[in-house]
Amino acid sequence: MSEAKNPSVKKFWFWLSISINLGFLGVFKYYNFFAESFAAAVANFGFEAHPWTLKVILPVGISFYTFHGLSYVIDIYKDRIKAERDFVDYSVFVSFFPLLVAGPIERATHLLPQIKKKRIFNHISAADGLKQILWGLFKKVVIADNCAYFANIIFDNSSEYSGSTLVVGALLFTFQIYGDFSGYSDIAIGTARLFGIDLLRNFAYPYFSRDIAEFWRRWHISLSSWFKDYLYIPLGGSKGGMWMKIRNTFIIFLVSGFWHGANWTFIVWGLLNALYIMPSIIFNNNRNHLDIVAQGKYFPTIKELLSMVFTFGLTVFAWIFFRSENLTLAWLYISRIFTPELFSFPNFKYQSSFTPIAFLLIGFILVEWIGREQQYAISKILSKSAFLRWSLYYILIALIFIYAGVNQQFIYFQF
Amino acid sequence: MKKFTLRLSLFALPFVLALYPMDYFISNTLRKSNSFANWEYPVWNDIFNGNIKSEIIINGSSRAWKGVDAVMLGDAFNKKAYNIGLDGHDFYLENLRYNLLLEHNQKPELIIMILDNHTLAEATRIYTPEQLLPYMLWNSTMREPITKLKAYNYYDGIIPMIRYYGKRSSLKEFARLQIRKHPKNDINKIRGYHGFEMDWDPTEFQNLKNDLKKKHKKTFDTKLYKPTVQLFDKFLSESKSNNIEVVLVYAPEFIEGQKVMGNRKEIIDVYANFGRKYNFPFYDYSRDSISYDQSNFYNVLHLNKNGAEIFTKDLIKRLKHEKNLQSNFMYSK
Repeated sequence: MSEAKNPSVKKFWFWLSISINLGFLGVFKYYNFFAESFAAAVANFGFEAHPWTLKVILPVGISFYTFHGLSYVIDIYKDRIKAERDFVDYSVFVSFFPLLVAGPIERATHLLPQIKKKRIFNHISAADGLKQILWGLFKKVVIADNCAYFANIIFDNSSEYSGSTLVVGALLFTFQIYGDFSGYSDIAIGTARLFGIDLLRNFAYPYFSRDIAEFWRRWHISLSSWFKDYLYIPLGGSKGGMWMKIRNTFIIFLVSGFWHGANWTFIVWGLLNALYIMPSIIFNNNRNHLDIVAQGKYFPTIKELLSMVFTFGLTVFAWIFFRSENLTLAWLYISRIFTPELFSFPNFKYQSSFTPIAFLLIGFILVEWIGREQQYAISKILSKSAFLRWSLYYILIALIFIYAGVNQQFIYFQF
Repeated sequence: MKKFTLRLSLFALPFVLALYPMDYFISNTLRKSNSFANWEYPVWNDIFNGNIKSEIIINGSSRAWKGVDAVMLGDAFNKKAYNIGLDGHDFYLENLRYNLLLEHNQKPELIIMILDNHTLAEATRIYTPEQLLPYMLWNSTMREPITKLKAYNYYDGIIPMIRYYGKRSSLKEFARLQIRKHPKNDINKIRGYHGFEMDWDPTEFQNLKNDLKKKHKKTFDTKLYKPTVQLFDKFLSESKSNNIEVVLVYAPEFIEGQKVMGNRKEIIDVYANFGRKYNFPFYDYSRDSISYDQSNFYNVLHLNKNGAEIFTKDLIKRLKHEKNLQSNFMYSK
């Protein structure tokens, strides 16, 4: 493609490459969904269809490395980079082990030059990488896995629980998915730093966002920016007037939902987020909060606090769709929340063993709040005293050792 | 790189130095618990400390430790008896416990092997794996059987402390023992036996029947697992060649419960055949009058204290009339 002098030849190779990349993703991830949805649709008209479905295991991380590959091809087509002629360097770019299974989704323009450059070991960067790995481990093993244990109990037996308990279940899943995915990202970024490679930032304290637009600038940043650069802008972005802006925003969120998995729950989750963001798109205030909340202060203002709580509430509600196995279960879960028992005291199985986890969760939120101006929460914490800093690391290791939850697979491995 | 390695080593040093002392301290403290891990620590302690000192060993699952009074049995023969019945397990782990007993204690003269429907089934997990924690480190006899059941991995038995990773309940029990808070569910096993003064509880049996209904099945069938059958055969053969008498005893089971156990006859025949093969007595208590009286049980598979006493007394009576034992065991000193 990069050698092609004729634009139509270049275009041919470009679309061939895009088709192959998306073809693999389509076959492995979406074929069964479309076949089964088609069968269900024709069944509504009284016809019977028995589509042939694939019985293969979805390759781990296929959505991630497909997007790596796509960004590489698009960047060459757009002449942002030159085609890589060293197969080893290209292979490292596509399959660099820390980010292979769950990102961050890298760009060829960002990662390839780092792979090609001679790297000299930097002990400050390596130590920082280890610190980020430690924090990522804590998030995954202590926060996410323990929240998952209780969230699973509540979601899997939702018919037995009161509205207030179901709210707790949704909250726990909210922290589970954040701890799980941002924990993995921290481990991946930290590991890469040991090799002298800086990966793209993937999370920036999304639950402290003041509106949904800010949330999406802080959650799964590498995917959001990928969609912005490779889909939203090529579709015309916001240049074609209000209607175009609304259409493109819906497309982005629809595709983003679908990217997560071939299930209507993800699509509804994506559309719900599109609806959430719509007022700020229409009133053109989606870039109101580009700064860090309460920067340089200990506490947010009442207005900031209320905005954060409201945005967080919307996010928690949307996660119910993400977590549910199908739309019927999601709807049942939501309808059971809004009963008079919503105001009763939450009560669930093994609740007594949840108490220490609740304290850890509160501690975790506090540390994240304190460190929200840094790349990751403990990056600069207690930087003035080596003794206190090392003590904190030992405490984190001890907490990981004692409070390691029941081993749960990373949620994003399935995508 | 040098500076980084040095700082990392310095950071890790306290861990490395503390690993073994911490392991020793936690394991030794945990061993003192007689309430945690299904009350198994006192028996494991006696095994590892060489305190079994018994001519008669009662082996089996919870049908053994809740059903056979070791003191009553030993006294009847003027010998010492010990019940090493292991809760929730089949022969795979029962055999491990017996092998560890042989490693640390004198060889018994008589083994009363309490059998049930699951004795020769496939071992798929370790019931209350916490019971093994204080004894696992550098124990080669335990390593293979335990790692096979995937409750622990190879390194858990090699590197101090790592097997305590995420074992919150064990660490909590360790902390409790440190502040000497008394547990609520202490029971006192005497020579491995404890009788439960409990009346028949119908809920468990009802749940069992509901479970069958849900699965659209009439009975639960137990599949014999060839490697466990072979292991059992090996155990009997080695006992024979070591002049250890074995009495095979199919434990009492409440008659109503037997109706939901599908292939009981096939399994009992296997035990009877083993008895014939090695000329060891085999008693089937599942058709004994004990099994017809609900007041002897607290659930389908477990005798209560009263039932255990009746069962032990009857077992003693039968053993006293057992011809094979008279020459080899009863009159030995």
